[in-house]
Amino acid sequence: MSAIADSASILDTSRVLAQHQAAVILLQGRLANPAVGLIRWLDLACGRGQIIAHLNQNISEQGRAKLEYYAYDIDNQGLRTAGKLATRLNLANHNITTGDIRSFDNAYEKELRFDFVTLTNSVHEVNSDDIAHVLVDCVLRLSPDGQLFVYDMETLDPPELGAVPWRGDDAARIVTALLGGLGSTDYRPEVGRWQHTKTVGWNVTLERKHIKCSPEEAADRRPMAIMQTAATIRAVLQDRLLRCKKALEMLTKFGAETKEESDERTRLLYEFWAISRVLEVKS
Amino acid sequence: MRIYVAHEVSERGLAVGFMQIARDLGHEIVDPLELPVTGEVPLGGIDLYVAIVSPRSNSVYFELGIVAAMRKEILLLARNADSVVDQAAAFPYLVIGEDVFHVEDEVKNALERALAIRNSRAHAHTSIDKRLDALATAEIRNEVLLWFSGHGASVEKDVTSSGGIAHLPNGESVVIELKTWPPQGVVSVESVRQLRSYMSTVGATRGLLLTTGSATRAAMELASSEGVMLYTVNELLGSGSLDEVWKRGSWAGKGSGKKNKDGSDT
Repeated sequence: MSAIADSASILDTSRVLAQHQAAVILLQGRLANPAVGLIRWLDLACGRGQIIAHLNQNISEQGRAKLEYYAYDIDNQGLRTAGKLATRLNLANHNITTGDIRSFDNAYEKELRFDFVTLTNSVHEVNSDDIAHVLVDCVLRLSPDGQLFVYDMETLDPPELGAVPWRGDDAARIVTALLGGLGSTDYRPEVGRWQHTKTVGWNVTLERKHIKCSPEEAADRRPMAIMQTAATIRAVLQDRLLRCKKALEMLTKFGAETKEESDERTRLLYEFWAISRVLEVKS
Repeated sequence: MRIYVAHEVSERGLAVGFMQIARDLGHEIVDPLELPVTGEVPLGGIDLYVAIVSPRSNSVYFELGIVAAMRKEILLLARNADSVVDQAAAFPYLVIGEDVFHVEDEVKNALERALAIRNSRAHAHTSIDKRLDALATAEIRNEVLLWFSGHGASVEKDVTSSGGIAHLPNGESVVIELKTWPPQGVVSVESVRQLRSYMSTVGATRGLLLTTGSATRAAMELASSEGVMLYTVNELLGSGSLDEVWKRGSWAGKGSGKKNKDGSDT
């Protein structure tokens, strides 16, 4: 996540964000399965460990003892905080790895598969060029029963320079392209949209067992899946840039008539900058 | 027209300036500071509620909530955009800076537009409006979807939309989005943009943005250029057929006196 200069993650254990709560609830379900002895969880772009900060209260000691936690993020103080939190939880094991999200797949042994992968509040920070292969690699890293949980915000308050927040319907198009590239055309995971106080969040949960291809086939189809996903991302961005320009033209002509519209104008300007930058780099 | 000018004592200077501009246009002003200390505040009989707001305007914002519930037309005046709290962000507003006379033309335009919308609403206050006044958003959504199913469409409440999708007998799909809160709130460009984006995602051929309030000029123009139709809920429910809706074209709030930023007529 090299392009976003002013993103910020906060750790406030006194309140639980809905997306972190959702991740912990999904984990609870998996850990409660008596047939399962170990759950490998990759917390991609884990920030300050905002999800594991809530494990102590919400997952029993027995449950935590079944959990192998892999945290991955760029080298920063936040990752060290996540490591400290993990140390105190008596997990089966934990592994803290630093690196750019683009190369997370290289950080782990080739055969390692995860039962649970989380990517929360981070997609907007990933360079748009890299989203396709990050998402495809997340899916390819899933165990046969593995689950990828993605959650992000449609708008940022305050906006972050260079960040591209995706909307739920963008995410639906991107995921459909990804699954199509892997040869799974009948699997349509739900994309939820959730009203927060100041924004709307979206989520998608991908289940590996519904993607009907073997690990070998998936590996073979990886380049195609990345290519199709990247092409869809580019098409979505071009579409958004066009609409963004039109909206800005109208606001230039008529002005903002409500505070809401004035705030939208600011967001549009951020969006215009972020998307034109991405498309400019690509062209 | 009777215009009530709500303001804190600290904003008296701006209020007096605004009242002078409005009086010069022939409007009757209700100045709360000139009302008898005892007795009722005559909000019921006003045509437009103008509020001069700042982040400290607690009593003005409290009164604004009451006036919004009374479905009165509202116009906010603020020294800067940050003076408007998020809960009031969907009401029409005008940034007036430190001296209202520096933006006299803009004030006159905003007044003209607010009163034109008020007049069109008052004129068209049908039995449908009266029924809608008593309904919550979810109930209005049900009424709208029922209207479509009553005209031969199959409808679905879509989870990613606060409206739904109507599949018409001719094979077309219409994405319907509702903006019903606050009741006299103003649809802005973002709502149009989101609806257009959603239309692409689900492959819908038409988009219908319904409001119980009005729309900004930028939103109306954007809708027009993006193939999105803007309607008031009562216009839709009062329509006799789908053909009538498509033939009538977008919302009747056009040409309500708003001027472009350069002062030319729209």
